[in-house]
Amino acid sequence: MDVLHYLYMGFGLVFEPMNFLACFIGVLVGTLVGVLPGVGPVAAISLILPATFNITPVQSLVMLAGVYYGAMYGGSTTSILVNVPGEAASVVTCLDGYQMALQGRAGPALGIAAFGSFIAGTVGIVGLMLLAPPLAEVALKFGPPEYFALMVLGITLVAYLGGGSMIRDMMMATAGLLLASIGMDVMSGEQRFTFGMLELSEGLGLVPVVMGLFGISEVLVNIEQDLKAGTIVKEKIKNLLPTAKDWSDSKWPILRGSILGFFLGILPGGGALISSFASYALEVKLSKHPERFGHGAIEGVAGPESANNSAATGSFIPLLTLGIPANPVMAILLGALMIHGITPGPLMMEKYPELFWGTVASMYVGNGLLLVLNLPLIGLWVRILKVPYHFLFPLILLFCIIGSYTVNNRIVDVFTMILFGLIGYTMKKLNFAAAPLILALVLGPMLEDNLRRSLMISYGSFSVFLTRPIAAVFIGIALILLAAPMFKVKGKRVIPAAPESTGE
Amino acid sequence: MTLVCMALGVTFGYGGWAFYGVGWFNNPGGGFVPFWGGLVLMGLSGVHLLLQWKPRPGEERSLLRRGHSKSLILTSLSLLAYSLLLMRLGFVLTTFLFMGFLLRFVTPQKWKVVVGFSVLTALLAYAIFVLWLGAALPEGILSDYLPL
Repeated sequence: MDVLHYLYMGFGLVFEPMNFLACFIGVLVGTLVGVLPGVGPVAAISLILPATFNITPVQSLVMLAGVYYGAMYGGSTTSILVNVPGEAASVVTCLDGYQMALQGRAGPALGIAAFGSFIAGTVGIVGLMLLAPPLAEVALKFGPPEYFALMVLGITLVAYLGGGSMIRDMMMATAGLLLASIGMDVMSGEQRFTFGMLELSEGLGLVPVVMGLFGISEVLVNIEQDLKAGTIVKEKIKNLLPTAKDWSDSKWPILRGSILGFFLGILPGGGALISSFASYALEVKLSKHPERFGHGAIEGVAGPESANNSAATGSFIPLLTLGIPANPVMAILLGALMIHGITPGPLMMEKYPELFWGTVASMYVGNGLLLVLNLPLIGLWVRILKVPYHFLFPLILLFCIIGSYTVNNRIVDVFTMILFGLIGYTMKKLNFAAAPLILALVLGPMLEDNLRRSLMISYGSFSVFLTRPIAAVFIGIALILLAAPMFKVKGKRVIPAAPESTGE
Repeated sequence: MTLVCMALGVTFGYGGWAFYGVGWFNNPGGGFVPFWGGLVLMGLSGVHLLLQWKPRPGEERSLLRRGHSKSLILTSLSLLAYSLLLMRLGFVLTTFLFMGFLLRFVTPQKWKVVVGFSVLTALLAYAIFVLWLGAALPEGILSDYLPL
């Protein structure tokens, strides 16, 4: 009953004109970002972040969340029409979506992607609504050892699920933890590794680092690769509404994708990318005719597109209930909330019900808006796809500069962004993932604080992490994951290797 | 990259131990996490270095692609120049020069396109970010001629 009451309140908030506008701008920018190859949701959210400083926390979260799940919607358009994924989570949609388009069925492919995303988004929101309150209550029982263990598990999961080398990912995570120790020591108030620079007293800024690692580095890699627009399917897009047979083929993949994606989204490091690949693999396995996959099977579009949308919604759960971001996008949202003086966690629903339920309600509204934006306006998105990259990349760079400068109005943040842009470029070239570094950078101060508190409580004994059941489970899983690469069994791949997770 | 991580580990490990006090397990000091984290990073980098002693073909070999390094270097330098000039010349002028430089020298376009796009971008960005969103971007030498 409480849930319905709060949801009603949430809807009341979303339909206030300014909040509705924030939701609309968010999903519009998200769709745009999803459609344009070379700009991921992490970079896009960083870019739009400065625009949220002067609005209310509800508007800010509603807008930024809209960008994230909007990008999941928009990404399918490019995958289906150009065979180039607009963002990482839509990579797998290329396999069957583009084939459908070549067979003159771009309309149903786009249609099922949009409807599947809408249904999955709704499933995800219901899951979020039902699961978040009890989880927040459980989280209230967490002490420093449980929080520390959970964060260790989160970082390990990001490294494990990243798809790259475990040792490299662990190196990046440790580097992130060390960089997080720059600035004021949370327990003693002492300045560490600031070299007397006042600008570093609050640590490295999250926004410049994220913009550098994800925005600038992406542009530098693209410039080098001569990113050109792909061949857009020339036929007129018609019959956006899927037929009865399309629905019959897609209904179970959509449902399975929605549920699978939601639970994978909750896992730190899981996110949209992993869930879309997992859903595709599941559909291939369950299909009576797996040979159709890769040749225009509508299930290959419906499942993954549903999975990546519900995963996007599911990933809000750890942030809003535990205060722990599951991926870099959530890390930026955490940063955005902190700028507004709000620390997400188990008490958030109690202290800021309007923020939590306003965001949940905005997702319902946003999903509806996305359906309207994606289907009737498909012609507009196709036209945007034709914008040459030589006009696009200077704009992305400019937005990155403005974004990093306006956080604190300091030029040093722009230098930080450029430095991390070059580091990010080098990392990309040498296959080092940025997601573990970002997550560890964000979680670092919390992790350090909880580790030191745990050790003080236990008089220096590490057994505190093994004698408390919840902490022991988290640490146990983390240790298994760390050991897993040593016992890797080679199996037959049903789908192409996932690109290294960007955490998006 | 591995060597950079190794250096990072040494720096933080030594800094944590020498300047901030590692403390003991029952009373960890400000240098506790940097020290142990530094050691872990050094260890991981060492293992990675050993594993990568013989890189597989194409790995960790060529950082820059031949023929494309020019665009990369020019873009990086233009970003650096932007940050150095922003406070002196102001947002509008620096943005105009930045866009013009990228369009003319990184992805060569006709002068007409370069000037038109750069002017339009600089003015539109100023209108949106400064006039509409209220961002405090430096006005520089054009401050007397701009609306705010």
